[in-house]
Amino acid sequence: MSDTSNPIRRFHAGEPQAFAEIIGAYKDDVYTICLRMLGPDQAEGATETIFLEAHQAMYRLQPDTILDDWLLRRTVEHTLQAVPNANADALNESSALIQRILNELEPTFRIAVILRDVLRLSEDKIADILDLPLGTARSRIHRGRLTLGRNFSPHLDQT
Amino acid sequence: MDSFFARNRLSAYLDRTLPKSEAEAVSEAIARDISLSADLQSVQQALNLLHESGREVAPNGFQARCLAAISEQPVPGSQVAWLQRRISRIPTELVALAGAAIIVGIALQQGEQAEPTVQVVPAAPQEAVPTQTVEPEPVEIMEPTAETAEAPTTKKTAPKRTVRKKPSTEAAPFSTTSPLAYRILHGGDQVLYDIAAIADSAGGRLVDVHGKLYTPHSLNEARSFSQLYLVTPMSTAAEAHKRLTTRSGMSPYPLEGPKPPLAEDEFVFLIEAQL
Repeated sequence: MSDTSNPIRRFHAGEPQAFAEIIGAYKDDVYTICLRMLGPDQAEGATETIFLEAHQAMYRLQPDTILDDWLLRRTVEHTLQAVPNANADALNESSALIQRILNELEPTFRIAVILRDVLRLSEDKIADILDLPLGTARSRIHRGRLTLGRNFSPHLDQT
Repeated sequence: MDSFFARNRLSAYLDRTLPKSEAEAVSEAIARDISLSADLQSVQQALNLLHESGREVAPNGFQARCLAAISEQPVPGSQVAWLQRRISRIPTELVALAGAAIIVGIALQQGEQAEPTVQVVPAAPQEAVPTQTVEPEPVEIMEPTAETAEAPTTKKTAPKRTVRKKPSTEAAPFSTTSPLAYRILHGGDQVLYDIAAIADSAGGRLVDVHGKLYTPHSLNEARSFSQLYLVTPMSTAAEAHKRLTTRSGMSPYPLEGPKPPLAEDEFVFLIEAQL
């Protein structure tokens, strides 16, 4: 990636548009993780907090950092440390159903399933983001999916 | 392939990442086992739902609101931000040392300018101590200087008492009924191991907000911040508090947010550690 297209270098050079482009590129991914991990009541606030903290942290970020891994890792850490709110009333029917069955998963399995089956990331990337060996990441995805299927079976008639 | 092994491969089977022979064996197992087939169907449908409706977009106007909030922060690359970054890297101890040096310098200067009013007599050193009234609890009296002790018969020119406030690193009053939170700024990349050492010495454990054991790790540019809880027995909480306050260099503040699950005889500290 050249210097002119590297958003971290542009940010360090003081280009104000650089961080706006980063928000534009990743806001939906970050918001989706926050929504599915914390619920709709906290999702927007958490997303904003993550971007504000990322903005400050970017001053010290190495330019060769893989930006999406870094940002998603910060998002995962933030959501795993926060306390979720199970309320899904603000969502539409299918989104609320997803929220309910995801809420029944342990957070460590839930985040693995969200990264794999909502954001559709590769297993390698998920292992990097979660800072886990590939086998452990695969196992979490697998176990999360099986539990998800079991939790979902009572709702089969709703789909 | 029996159902147990086939079930363990369902995820890879759905992702079509199994070798052909294994995929065929799983297909056969699914055809034989009704419960396995039902599991596959429910997982498949749940994943279809996630693929279709799991992703959400950020609310309208989010980007503008976020940028507005960011605009309140220092502008990247500006001289102010540059200065703030440099200042933030100066260790707290150095600032405290410089402050103490300034106070001592001013005190000495004032002492030299003052008229001599008291003669220090070695036979009765307690009488030589000035009688200025000082609140005993919040302040600490400086010890007489070596110069005073070595030359007792000379007239001293600094009878004024110099007082100083207790440093902020001194442990604040501690109560086992009020959980505390600590910030460790510029703690270095090994700060989490320091906290783990405090936990070990207090017979406690490090956990996350859900009570799961927290594994310390090195902080770096990519992972520069960590929030964790130290749970200790009540009997060692005061000692842990003292050590955390020393390590933090700042007074703790009351912990009002969520806490991990605790036993009756346990106490919790929140620690926010930064590289």
